[in-house]
Amino acid sequence: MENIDFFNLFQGIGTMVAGGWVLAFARIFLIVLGGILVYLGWKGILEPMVMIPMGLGMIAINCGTLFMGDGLGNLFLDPMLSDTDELMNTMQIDFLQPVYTLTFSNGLIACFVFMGIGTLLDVSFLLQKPFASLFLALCAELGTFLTLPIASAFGLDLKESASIAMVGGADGPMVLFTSLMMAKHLFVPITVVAYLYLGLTYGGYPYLVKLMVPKRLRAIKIEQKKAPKNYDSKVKLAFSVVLCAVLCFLFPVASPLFFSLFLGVAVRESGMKHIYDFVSGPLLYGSTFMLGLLLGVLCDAHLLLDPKILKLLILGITALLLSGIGGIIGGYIMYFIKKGNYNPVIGIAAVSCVPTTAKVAQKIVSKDNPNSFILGDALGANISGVITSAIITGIYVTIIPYL
Amino acid sequence: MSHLLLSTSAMMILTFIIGFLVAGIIKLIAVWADSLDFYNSHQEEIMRLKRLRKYHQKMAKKIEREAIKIFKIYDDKRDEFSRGVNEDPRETRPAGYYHGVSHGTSDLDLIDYHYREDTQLMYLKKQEQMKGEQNNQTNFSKEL
Repeated sequence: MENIDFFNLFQGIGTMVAGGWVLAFARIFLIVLGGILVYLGWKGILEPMVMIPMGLGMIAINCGTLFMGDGLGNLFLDPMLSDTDELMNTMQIDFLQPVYTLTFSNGLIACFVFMGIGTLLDVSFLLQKPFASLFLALCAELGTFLTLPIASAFGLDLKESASIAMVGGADGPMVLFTSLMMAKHLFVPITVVAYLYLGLTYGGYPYLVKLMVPKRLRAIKIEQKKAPKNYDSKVKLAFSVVLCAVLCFLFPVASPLFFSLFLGVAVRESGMKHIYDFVSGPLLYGSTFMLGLLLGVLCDAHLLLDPKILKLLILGITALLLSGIGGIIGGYIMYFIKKGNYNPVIGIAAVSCVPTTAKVAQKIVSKDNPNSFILGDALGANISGVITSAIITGIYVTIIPYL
Repeated sequence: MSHLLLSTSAMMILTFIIGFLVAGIIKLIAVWADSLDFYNSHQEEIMRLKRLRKYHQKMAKKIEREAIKIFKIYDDKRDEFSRGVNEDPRETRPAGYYHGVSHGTSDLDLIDYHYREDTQLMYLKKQEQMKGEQNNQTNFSKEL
């Protein structure tokens, strides 16, 4: 009985002691952070579908560390495996390894999420005002562009800089895809940082809007000169086919994402009810949930101790902040072009976190003027945001390797 | 660093160009949809106009055919004459002034050229009648 080692019996505690105080502190920090994320998700301040599994995953991975043959490890997954034999062995032991290897690290889960997002998009809003919506979306990519030289000045190489700059596009699947293509070694921390911050947009952007747009302008009700038009499903289907062809033709590297997005739109508009129900329900929510879960279990203490993580945290928030500012500046430009008949708050919806930012914009405006309905214009800008971030992904993946 | 800033600006400009190109394509689709919508909503009116046009064409053809038939019935030679065709084997009437080839001074007067034989006969009869009436009047005034 006296031979039983307490730290070997309760390996969670034992690994805390064995790993050293820095690692132990990092693990405790992440456990607490996981708890906070679960709470904020439950309260509805952050997106619960991502934050609750992510927070719980963070808690489980940092508590459930154990002694393995070659040091500390876990029975969830190992993201750094590349050797085929080792991978096959681990896939039979770590229960989330097959999900990670076969859906996450090849971008399949991002494509599934994009398909689901496609089924949520009503492209009528974009068809009504394509130039205004695309202009706002282009302005809202300010962070994606400005973070690239800033990250480079921080000491990251160009591919790493481009990957973290994509956080400014506020599109999780795009960040995942770009980092997979350009900085595979930073793919885990960049994706974690991106999703963590994307959850924060729901809570953080209203403050930015209130800071930049006075109440008088937030309450503007747009006078519509023409009645909003409802486009036929045939037109929307043609839209998805033509745009998918054009964008895939221009950027073959991002074609899986374009294909997934427009396939979602096509499923929505073609009247395939059972497929629509499947893609917009189980596939989208199941993929988002699994994404949150995988991101959570990827947040082990070693991630926090990566010397680049602090830089990535700063650059990620900078990118999102600059994009938000760019969107609002775009909103102001439209306000002046339309001679006051435009609500600048719509600009924040151009940051393409579908449909979160559009909902945020409507919520802010409704608070100041319950009669002002901007959701249509906001969704148009929101959808354009997805298209522009896909275009930038294509440009970065194609051009950056040549710089 | 300046090279990177320049490259970033170039990529930004490229994104704007492609973005507006995409907006243009979307606008084209919207315009096409609008015209399709217009066509659908006015399809009944367009069909009615098409039917009317077909009927007009049919009627015009029928009238033309009838007119040709009448020409044939009354042995009207004006059409052939204007095209330089002369079916008269005796050539009492020279062929029309065709392809810039002149037949020289014609023996026929304007009435010969421009009126059918029956009209000419009618004209001659009328002329004769008028002459007769004139003679009668002169005789009557002489008698008085």
